[in-house]
Amino acid sequence: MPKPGKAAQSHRDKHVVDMSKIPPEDRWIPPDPEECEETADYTMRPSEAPSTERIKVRMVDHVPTSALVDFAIVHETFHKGKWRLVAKADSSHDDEVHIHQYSRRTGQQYGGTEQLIPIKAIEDVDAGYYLAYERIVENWAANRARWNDV
Amino acid sequence: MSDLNRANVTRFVYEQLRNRSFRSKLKVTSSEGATPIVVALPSDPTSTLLSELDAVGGAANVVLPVGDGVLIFGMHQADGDDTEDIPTLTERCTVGVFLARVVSDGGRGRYKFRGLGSDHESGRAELLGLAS
Repeated sequence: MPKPGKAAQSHRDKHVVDMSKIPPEDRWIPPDPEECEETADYTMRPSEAPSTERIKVRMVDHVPTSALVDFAIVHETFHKGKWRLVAKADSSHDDEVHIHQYSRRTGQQYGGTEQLIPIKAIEDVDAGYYLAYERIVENWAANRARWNDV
Repeated sequence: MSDLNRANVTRFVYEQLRNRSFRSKLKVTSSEGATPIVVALPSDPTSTLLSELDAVGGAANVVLPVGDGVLIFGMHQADGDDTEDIPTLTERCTVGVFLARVVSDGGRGRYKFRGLGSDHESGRAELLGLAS
């Protein structure tokens, strides 16, 4: 049995808290965290981006079915000697896949989160992964420009 | 892969990251514990690939499109290699030719990078797998 990583543990903790807030008819039941496994961080440069840009991907899989249970796709830019958050898409609140945008000036999240897709079944997490790819990876230049302006 | 451009190969890699079998072939990790991936095209100059490796700390999983899939190579740069009888890459060498050489060398080898603008003088490459 694979050991659950920090994200899987976090997933389990959030599962306990968040599920009580979701209307019963819209709930999906995440797989048992003991059957889930967290991947490493995969890093890549977006296509046609300079080496100051990178994307980090981390996932949690349900091992018996290979279904995607949780993920984060993060755009970072190298600025003034360190990697800074530009934008992040994740499914870490169980009920939706959403995007966070960040500010160059403050280093904090800028504005509210934007929902990409509600999660009502495990298949929605997988669909959200591809939507997140388009908004974070393929849209990296616009996200970087916005980050620079706020 | 019908349309051989960097954006399509990059998207293919993100799709494949959902696949446990593909992920198991990405064996090169950085000192930070991450798994760096570099997309290279056969027509890229080898100096471009070496610059990419410099940018990610000198080691990466290199993904090269071939046919309907990709080949995955592990590459590690190194400093100083006085061994005389290892191949020296020239500035005219493309990534496609270089990695074909790695395959013809049995899937792994050591190579000199002198004169290619890399921060490192030599390195090794190893074929890690095929995904389609």
